[in-house]
Amino acid sequence: MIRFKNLTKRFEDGRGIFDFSFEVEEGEVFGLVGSEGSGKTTALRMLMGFEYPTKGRCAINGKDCVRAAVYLHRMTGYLPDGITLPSVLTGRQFLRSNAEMRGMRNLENLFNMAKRLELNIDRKIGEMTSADVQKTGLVCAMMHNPPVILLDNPFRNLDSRTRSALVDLILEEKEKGKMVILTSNTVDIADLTCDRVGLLDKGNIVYLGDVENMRENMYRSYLIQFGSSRAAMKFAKESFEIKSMKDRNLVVSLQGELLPLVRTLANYHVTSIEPVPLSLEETFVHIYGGVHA
Amino acid sequence: MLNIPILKQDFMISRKTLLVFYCLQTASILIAAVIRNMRLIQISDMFWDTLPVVIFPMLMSMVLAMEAVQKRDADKTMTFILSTGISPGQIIMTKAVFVGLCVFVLMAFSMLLGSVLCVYDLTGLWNRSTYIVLNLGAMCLQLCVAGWCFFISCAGRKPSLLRYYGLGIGLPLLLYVMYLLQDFVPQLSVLQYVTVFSLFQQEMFASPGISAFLASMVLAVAGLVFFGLGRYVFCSRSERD
Repeated sequence: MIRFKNLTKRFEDGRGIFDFSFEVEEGEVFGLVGSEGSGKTTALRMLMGFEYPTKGRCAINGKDCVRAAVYLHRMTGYLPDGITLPSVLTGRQFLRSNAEMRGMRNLENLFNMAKRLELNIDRKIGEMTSADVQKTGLVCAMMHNPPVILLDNPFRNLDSRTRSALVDLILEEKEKGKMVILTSNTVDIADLTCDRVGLLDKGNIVYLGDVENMRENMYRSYLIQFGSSRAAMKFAKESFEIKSMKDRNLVVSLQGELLPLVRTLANYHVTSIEPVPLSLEETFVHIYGGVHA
Repeated sequence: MLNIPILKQDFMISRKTLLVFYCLQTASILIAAVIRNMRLIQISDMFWDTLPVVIFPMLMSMVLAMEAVQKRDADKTMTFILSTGISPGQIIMTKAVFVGLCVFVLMAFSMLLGSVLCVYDLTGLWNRSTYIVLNLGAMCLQLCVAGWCFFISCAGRKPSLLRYYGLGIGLPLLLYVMYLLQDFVPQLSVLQYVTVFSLFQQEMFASPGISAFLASMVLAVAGLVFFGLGRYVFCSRSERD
């Protein structure tokens, strides 16, 4: 179990994380969601023992993350945010040397992960796209099959196909009973992978709960294209919140379940429907009612 | 105490840098041999004071210390290494040995090559023994410079190339320029008390005595202290917050 208990880290500039208290169980994926500077990275770095707490403590399986840092590192996979890696090495050289540092003899998992993420490890890191560098970091963080996985912004730079592969990988790790904490700037990612989420605002947890509950409280917007503008105008009179309307295109917002909208749309000629990503600011306003600065 | 995979990774990352400096060092010794054969003695003094014993090894330690710690911090390789379960002390010790070893091997290699090619009788003032003593003194100087660069590379909570360029590279180069100035301009001789490079003066090693020994010891001890300080600041980065 991962446990944060009144954990506070205050930096000189006043930023940090304040009074974090929550637990992550085995077989659970927990998401920390917030904008840049909200404290996501600091929280993970504290679990790695890279930052010392100002107050409180955090522990993994009962072991203090500061005192037992080196021991805990052996059972943890950590992906830092914003990696660039040494450009003169190939992906294979980088991963192999990290595997040697961990004392790994069997590299099968490394090659399997690289294959699933469609990563060409024989390319020089300096010639890789930012997505491939991110994939190299992901393989490095998870290749040794750690029971605790901490991923800082793992979906950064990834295309939708690799995102989907990574979601599958994370869910498989969860099935194996591993504890996963990941961070994200958007709620959508947490929605896809996490069982529970903590929304962060300026170092404070402003919402902590199940993704199911968040989904119920969360507003979603959909762009619906009707067969004709007359149909669109008729739909606009239904009891849904219309965010915008242009010709036969409507953007509809709704809270909670999608079923009422689908049932109503069944009576209309609809040519397409697609979700409109919600900004983090809108999410904050809708979920905890605050105004996100 | 050392971690071989880290050492291997550092060699792989810096192999081009090493190749360039070893080629330059070899070239400079070969040029010295040619100068010796052609008896171009006027060039020799300047040559002894600069390229093979001071400048190339100094530049190499500056680049290696930056690549081993500062740049690995910036590209997050260090974070990956730290999260493998190897203690920070062992990681940074291995990197210190990597920097020190590369500079030592470079100096030893050029000393051997210089001895074989008899470049020591370039000016007619040196013999093989004094040439070896001169190189041992130069090694102590390079240990001091490498230690300083390593310390600056480890310092600071966050990697800053600007800080490294200023203190790690700029300051030793400035001190070296001051040493050259006081050597060429007698009116500026007071500068010799400001720069560490005046502890390594060729004349002292031509007839080695207690002063050469003491100067070498001061340089070597200062180098070891800087390496130790680098290790200390690296291991206590988080505690300082």
